[in-house]
Amino acid sequence: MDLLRLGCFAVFVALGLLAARAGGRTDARRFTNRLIGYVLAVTAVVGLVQQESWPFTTWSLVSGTPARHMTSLEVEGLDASGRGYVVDLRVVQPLSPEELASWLKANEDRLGPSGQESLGRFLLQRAEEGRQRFLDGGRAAPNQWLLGPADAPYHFHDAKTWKSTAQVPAAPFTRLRAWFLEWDIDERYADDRRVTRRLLFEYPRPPGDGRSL
Amino acid sequence: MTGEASSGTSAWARFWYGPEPARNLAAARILLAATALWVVLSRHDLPGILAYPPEMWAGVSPERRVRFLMVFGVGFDRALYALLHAALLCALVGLWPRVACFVAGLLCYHFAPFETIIRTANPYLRGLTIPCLGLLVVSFSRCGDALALWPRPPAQPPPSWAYRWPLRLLQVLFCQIYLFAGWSKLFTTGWSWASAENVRGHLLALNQALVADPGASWGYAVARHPLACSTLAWAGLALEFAFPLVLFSRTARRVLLPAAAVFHAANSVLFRIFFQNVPLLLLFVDWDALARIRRRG
Repeated sequence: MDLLRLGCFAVFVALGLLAARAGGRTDARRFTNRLIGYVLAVTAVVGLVQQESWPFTTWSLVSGTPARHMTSLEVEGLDASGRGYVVDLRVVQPLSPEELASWLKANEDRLGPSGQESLGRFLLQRAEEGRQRFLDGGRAAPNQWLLGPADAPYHFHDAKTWKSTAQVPAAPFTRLRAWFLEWDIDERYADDRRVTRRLLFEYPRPPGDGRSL
Repeated sequence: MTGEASSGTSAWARFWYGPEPARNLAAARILLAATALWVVLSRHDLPGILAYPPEMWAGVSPERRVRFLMVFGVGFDRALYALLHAALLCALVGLWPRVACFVAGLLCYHFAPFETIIRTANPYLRGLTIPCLGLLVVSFSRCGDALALWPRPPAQPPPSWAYRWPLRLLQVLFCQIYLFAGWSKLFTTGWSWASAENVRGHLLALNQALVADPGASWGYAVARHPLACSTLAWAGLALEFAFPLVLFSRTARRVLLPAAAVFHAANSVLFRIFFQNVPLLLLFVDWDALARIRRRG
């Protein structure tokens, strides 16, 4: 299917190039009509049956019913003294925190100890780089490298966890824990504390964790 | 040809091939390039995602990599990403605009999916969908006949159908965002999507997931009132299905374009959903008429 979708895009480009080449000729409209007809047909099919062929797409936006049970990712960095700090997930940019959390949720069971090790190493490195950048008067979010707070936000507004230097340690992060926060939306609406924390993994793995790589 | 068919043909011709000032198409080129450049400058080292842990790439099939031409190494893709910046800048200021738009359009196709590829091959709400298609469409047309640095555009080219069809196609593609957003709700959920309970659920779920203190959010404030939730849903659906009228009516443009801007502001505040292509609402502005008014004034 992916190659078919590539073909769909390639035909669009080819028809466009033909229309461009015919630009000044008397039969130019025949070629532009073909291009227009093709775009209208593909976008109509994709939109109506709601099957993407990006960049021809479904434009589906909060079209379903909301999940009652929600999950979000929290990464906790620990310094050498063992004190924990919530990591601002913007440190994983240009990947959005939402994409990372969704991917992790879908692949949680498949990850295994070696996958957790690899992901933990990556997250710890990103968290530490972010901590240093933040303390150096820079910004936690790599995406703000040029435009600062005028950068284009992601589709879902990402939470800006680090707002003051008191939220990050002066010493480097040496360990990391990844948690899933889970809740029922109505229970949490009634009481914001009704959130459970489930440990996904810790990096480096604590001594005594006998799982083999 | 029957009279009916003839009238049908002329309606098609009027819509796609009526006279259009070169300036309006050039303004569309600038809007698309500026929007894409804003997004690209806000995605630091996008090709660097190739170097993320291999476990994150395990679910991306070889076919999917081929589909988006993700077959190069990080170093080469970083060079291509720099080329995308340069092409967008050239498209913006009008330096070899057709070539620049073509290159930028193709590179948007290549890079936009990086942001979501580990989860989905459909990066449609990440800001580069309309720029990708739009930059290619304008590259197929005489988008450099105004507001361009080089090659020097002709002095005051007369309005032509050659400037109309690409602009119209862009506008149609933009209208589809709203039309299919409305349709997808009915397709996926049916009319019950517009129930107060459903909208309340979305407000709670999104604010709880995305806001540090959801209790203090505007989303929660609206969620407390079923009538407000219902009104929000029906108003949103009405806007989405009515929006394509902007293609046919000046009055509709005066009403629906500001309404769409308010709709996106409300989405941002209440649902925490940001739409990076809001500036492309300006595709419907008659820039040539504004310039003439300014000259006379």
